[in-house]
Amino acid sequence: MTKENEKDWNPRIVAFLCNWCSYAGADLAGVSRMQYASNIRIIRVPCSGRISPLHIISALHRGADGVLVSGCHPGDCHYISGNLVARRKFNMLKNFLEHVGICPERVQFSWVSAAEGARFAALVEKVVEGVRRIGPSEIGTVAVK
Amino acid sequence: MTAVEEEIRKTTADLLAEGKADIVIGFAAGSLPMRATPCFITEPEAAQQLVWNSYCLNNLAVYLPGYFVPAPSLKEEKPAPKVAIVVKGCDGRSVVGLIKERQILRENLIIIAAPCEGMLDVDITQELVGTNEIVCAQEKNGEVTITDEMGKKTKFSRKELLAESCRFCKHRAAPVYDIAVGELPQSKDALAPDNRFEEFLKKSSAERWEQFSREISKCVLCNACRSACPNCYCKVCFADQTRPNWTGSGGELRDVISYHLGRMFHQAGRCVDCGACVRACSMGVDLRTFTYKLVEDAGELFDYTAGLDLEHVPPLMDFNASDSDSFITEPE
Repeated sequence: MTKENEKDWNPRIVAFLCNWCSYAGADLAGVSRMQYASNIRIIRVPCSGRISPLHIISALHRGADGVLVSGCHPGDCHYISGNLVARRKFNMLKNFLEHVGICPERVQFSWVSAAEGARFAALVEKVVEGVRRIGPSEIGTVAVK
Repeated sequence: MTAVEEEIRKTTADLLAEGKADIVIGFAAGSLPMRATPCFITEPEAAQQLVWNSYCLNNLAVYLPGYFVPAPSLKEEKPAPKVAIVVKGCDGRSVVGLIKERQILRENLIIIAAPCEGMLDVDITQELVGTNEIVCAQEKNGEVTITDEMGKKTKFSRKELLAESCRFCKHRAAPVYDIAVGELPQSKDALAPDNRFEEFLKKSSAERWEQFSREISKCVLCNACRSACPNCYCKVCFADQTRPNWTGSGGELRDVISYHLGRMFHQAGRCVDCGACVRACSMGVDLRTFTYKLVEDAGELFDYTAGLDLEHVPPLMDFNASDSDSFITEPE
C-alpha cells in the first residue's frame, strides 16, 4: 500500500477472542446493537492461553495490519489460569515486537468479560483508530528480497 | 592452560576407565590455528586428544539432548548413557536449562567445569589481520601474537579478539557442576562490553525496524543458528511444518522475518546469551542486538536469569496472579 492510495486503505485486524469471555463480550456488543468499526476479523479460540506467539506473527506475516488478543480478566479464566500463563507470554512478545521496530499499536492485548459489550466496542474503536494512525503493517509492506 | 588440560585428560580418562561415564564430550585441537573442535571419546586412551585453550568456543550442550531421546527407529529402549561433558560458563548454563526442561537426565550427567576467561574468535582476528592467512597464534599474559602466512607478527590484547558474547559475559564459571578443574573464575564483570544494544534501544521505532529488516535480509535461511542453539531441540521445528505453514515457503523477506521472529521468541526466558547462533551465522547477521532483549526482559519483568540454578522455574513455564498488567490496552 503506497502513500497515494492511503485514503482507500482500510486496516485489516485479526482479533483472537476467547470463547468464554471476550467472544461473549463481542456477542453482547452485537445484540445490544452497539456501533463499532468493521475492520476486525474475529477468530474464536478456547482460551487466551491457546494463542501461541506464532499465531500472532503468522497473522502479521499473512497481511494483517493489526492483531488484537483478548481474554477473560485475570482471575476469571474458565480454565482457572490460562490467561495468567498467556499474560507472561504476551508481555514478553509485545516488548520484543516493539524492540524490533513493530509499532506498539500493531499488536494489542486486552481483557474483556462477557458482560462488557460496551468495553469491547470501545476497545475495537481504539485499536482500529491506532492502527489507522500508524498505517499498513511493517511486515506486510517489507520490500521483496 | 596446560595444567588444566592435563587435569581434564586425567579426570576424563579415569571416568571412562572406571565406567562412571560412557562418553565424554570435550574439545580436541582443530585442524586450523585458533580452532578447537568438539570431540566425543569413549576410550580412556583417547582422552589424550582433549584440549582446553582459548578457542573452545562451541556450546557443547547442543549435543546432549540427542543422547537422551531415543531415535524413533529403535524399537527397544536402550538405557540412557552416562555422559561427561566439559563446560565453560555458558555451556554450563545451557546444561542447567536443558535439565530444567527435562531434556536430559541430571543423574546420567557428569558436569566437568573448566575455567574460562572469554574465548577468542578466529573470524574477528582474521578481520583484524587482513587477507593473509593466520598460521600461528601464541598467547602470553593477556597478549596474543598472531603470525600470518607472510611471517608478519601482530600483537593484540586479548580483549580485542574476544568472541562477541564473551565480551558481555558475566557468568564465566558453570553454576552447577560435579568436578571442577583448575580455578574457576569468580569475577562477575563483563570483560569488554560495548553499548551497541543500548544505542539500538535509543532509536525510533522506524529506525529499529529499518535496521532489523536490513539485518535479517542478509539471511539465507541455512538454519545454522537453529542447529547451533542448545535450546532448539524440538523434533519438528515450526519453521519446517507445512500444516500449518507458519512462515511461508521462504523466498520472500517477510517469510525470513517471520522465521526469525518465531525462532528468537522461542528463546524468551531461556537464552543464556552464549552467542552460538551469532558465531554459526555464515552471513554475519547481528542477532544479539535483537535476542538480548529477551534476556533483559526475563530479568526485568520476572527477575530471572536463565541457567543459574536448578530450582527457579523458567518464567514462561510459570505464572503469578500479581504479574504486571501494564502492557494491556484499556479502551478508555
